[in-house]
Amino acid sequence: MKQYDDLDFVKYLAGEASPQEAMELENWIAQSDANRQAFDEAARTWSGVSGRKVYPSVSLEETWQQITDNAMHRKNRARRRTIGYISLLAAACLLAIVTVFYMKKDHIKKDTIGAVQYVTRETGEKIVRDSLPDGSVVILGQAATIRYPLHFEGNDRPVILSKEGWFDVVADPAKPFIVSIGALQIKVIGTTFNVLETNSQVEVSVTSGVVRIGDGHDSLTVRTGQKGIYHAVSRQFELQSGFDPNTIGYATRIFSFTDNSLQEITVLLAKAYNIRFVLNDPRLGQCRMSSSFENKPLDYVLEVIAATLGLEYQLKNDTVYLNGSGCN
Amino acid sequence: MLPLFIAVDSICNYVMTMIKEKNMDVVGKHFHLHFEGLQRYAFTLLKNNDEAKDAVQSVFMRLLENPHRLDKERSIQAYLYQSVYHHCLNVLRHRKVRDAYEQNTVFPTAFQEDTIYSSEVKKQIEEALDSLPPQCRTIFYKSRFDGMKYAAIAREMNLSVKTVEAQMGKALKILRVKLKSILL
Repeated sequence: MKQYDDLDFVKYLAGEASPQEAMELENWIAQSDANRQAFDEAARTWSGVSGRKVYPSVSLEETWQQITDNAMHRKNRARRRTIGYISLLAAACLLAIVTVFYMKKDHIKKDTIGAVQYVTRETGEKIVRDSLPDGSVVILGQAATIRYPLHFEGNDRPVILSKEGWFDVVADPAKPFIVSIGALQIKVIGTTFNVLETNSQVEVSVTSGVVRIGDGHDSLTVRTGQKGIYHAVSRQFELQSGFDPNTIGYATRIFSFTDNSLQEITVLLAKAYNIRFVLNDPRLGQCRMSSSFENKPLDYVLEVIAATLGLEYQLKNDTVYLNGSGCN
Repeated sequence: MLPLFIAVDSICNYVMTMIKEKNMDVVGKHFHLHFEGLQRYAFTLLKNNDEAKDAVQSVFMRLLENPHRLDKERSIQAYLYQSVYHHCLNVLRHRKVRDAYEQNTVFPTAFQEDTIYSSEVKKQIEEALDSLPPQCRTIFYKSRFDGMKYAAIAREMNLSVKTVEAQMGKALKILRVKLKSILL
């Protein structure tokens, strides 16, 4: 084991230690009382020369209490993630159906440039979920394309996207994850966010964490709950303080309907669950309802809708038939 | 069909609560084990107690929100130190931007208002600082009182970082021996 002396202590106290060095020194300090005393003496000297005492100690229990309290407040966000875990089970039921679409509509190609192998994936009408080489997840929207190296070997994790995709990026501070879309680059460490490209702009909606978007001239930081918009022609950045979570429901399957028409609802659900709706009477589309779903199985969602609006439903293959006599 | 799903949903809710409590336990163990070190590390980077505490808190918050990290990371301790480091870098970057607007940056200078020592002790500290060899003293002042990074000091004084490191070690050693009896 390394022997520590004043040189290491002062380097640490001056804020020059890397995480690795800090961890090793802290483990050394925790190893014996003698080590701790040696370090404490150095720390007292360091702070003493400016007429200060060593940093006041913070109560361990109190701090932990604050963390757990905060975690409780943010219960909903945490719950969503946990639901994600559990609903893997439910998702397995849908997998059989979904797999059919994967095979039908999705194209994967591999090619090699120099020594680097690339994967290119194109979607058709159906949403596609893909795992990237680092374990990050991307859910591709309709008619989207993604291209990435088979292995992330360099200093970053480059991905090229067109159209729409939702990303859940595995944190790796040493290797930023960079999505290029047109002239825009989206740089993240570890977070979840959605990218939507239209003819004139790119929208980046952040569901958790922070991302940085830039075009080489200017850049913008977008935080949890915010939407950053890049106007491709004028090269202007715009920050919006919120976005409609339903717009990324295709990927998250989290919906919050407030007096939405059945017409709007079926469009969103069709994307998210890779299904198609047939209404026996077009007037049904005008029925309105409010409800929220967090990553629920399709059957559950259909049950609730049918019960709320007094409809009958039938799910056959990938088509949902809704029958009813209109709403008041 | 509907009652069935409601039943499934409440079972799911129950299981989730159990999983959450288990995560809380596991994260709590890491917290109790590593908090002191992480907090100290954050303090060395930020030189501010509240911000250091915030840094560690938010790292643990994130761990609670992403419990799958617990399985994924090879070493949770290494992950925690990395995360604290990056959180602190962000805080410092933010601070830099803010300070560019507000000119009155406050770095800890010798003897601030909240000093706790008697004038006799202060005199001894000043004497100890004065007793450092000239280059050693200049380097120590730049790091300790101007908050400069080793690399910046090395550049400014046209020295290698290794030399700065060595001079800092030497300064601390001299001060520690001289002030041992008065700084308790």
